[in-house]
Amino acid sequence: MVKGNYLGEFEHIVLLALLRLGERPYGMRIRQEIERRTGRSVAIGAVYATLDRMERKGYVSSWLGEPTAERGGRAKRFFRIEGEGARALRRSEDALGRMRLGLRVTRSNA
Amino acid sequence: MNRNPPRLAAALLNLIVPEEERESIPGDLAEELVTENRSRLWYWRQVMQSTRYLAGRSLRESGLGILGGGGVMCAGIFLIEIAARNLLPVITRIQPVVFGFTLTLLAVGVASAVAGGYIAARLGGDAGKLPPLVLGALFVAITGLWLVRGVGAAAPTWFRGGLILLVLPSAFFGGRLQTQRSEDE
Repeated sequence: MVKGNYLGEFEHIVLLALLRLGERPYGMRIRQEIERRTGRSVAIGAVYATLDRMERKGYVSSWLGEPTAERGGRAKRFFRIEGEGARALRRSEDALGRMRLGLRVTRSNA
Repeated sequence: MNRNPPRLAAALLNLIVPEEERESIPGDLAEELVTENRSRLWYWRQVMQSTRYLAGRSLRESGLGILGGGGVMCAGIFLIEIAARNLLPVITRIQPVVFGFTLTLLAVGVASAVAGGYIAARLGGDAGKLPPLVLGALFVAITGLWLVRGVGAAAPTWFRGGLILLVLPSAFFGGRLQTQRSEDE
């Protein structure tokens, strides 16, 4: 079985954040969404490094928007999940679901 | 209150950010600093925490990964060279010791190749493929030269042959190790 078919934990989280944010998500919003929902501190560099890796795998695509004043005249980079990314997400979700089936994590078995 | 990013942190960020993210990452941090009223300390923390992710990518794009991995491999050769030059002549009469010592040198050579491949893959990008292979070829060439001309010529044949045969796959193995690790992250 090819290991590369499955997402790493952070890749999985980033793809879910992209799904949650819907229209035109970009780095800052993705970072905030992950931080808010997982409660863990996230570096912007980690988000972009993961998105870059997934873009090279064909899971996401990106494009530059217009520069804005509040960003010091810099443009946003928007991201979108591609079909291959959606399939990878479904594969990982299915695998996790099958692993969870019939299990309940309690203090005694965790 | 000053809502501009701290100058030094912004300069550091500019230094490490990859070319294609020169707009997006500094822009995202500047925007969040203003719109979410973040502190300058928060900005510093973001830059410092991002360094390990961004610096590797910048190095990879500039092709310096090969140099980093090459440095590790050359250090390995240097270590073998010093050990062989100083110790082999002293212990040549005690055969089991010579064997153990030479085996250790071979292990150091292989470990250097694995580490070099790993570092080249880490800094050199889509690896497991080109950077460790280029590095391995370089290592084989340097090792070969050293064996022909240097003190390595005094070492047993099995050591010389083993080193040349093992370094290329070892560098490739190091590259694969790193690639698998980054897939797990």
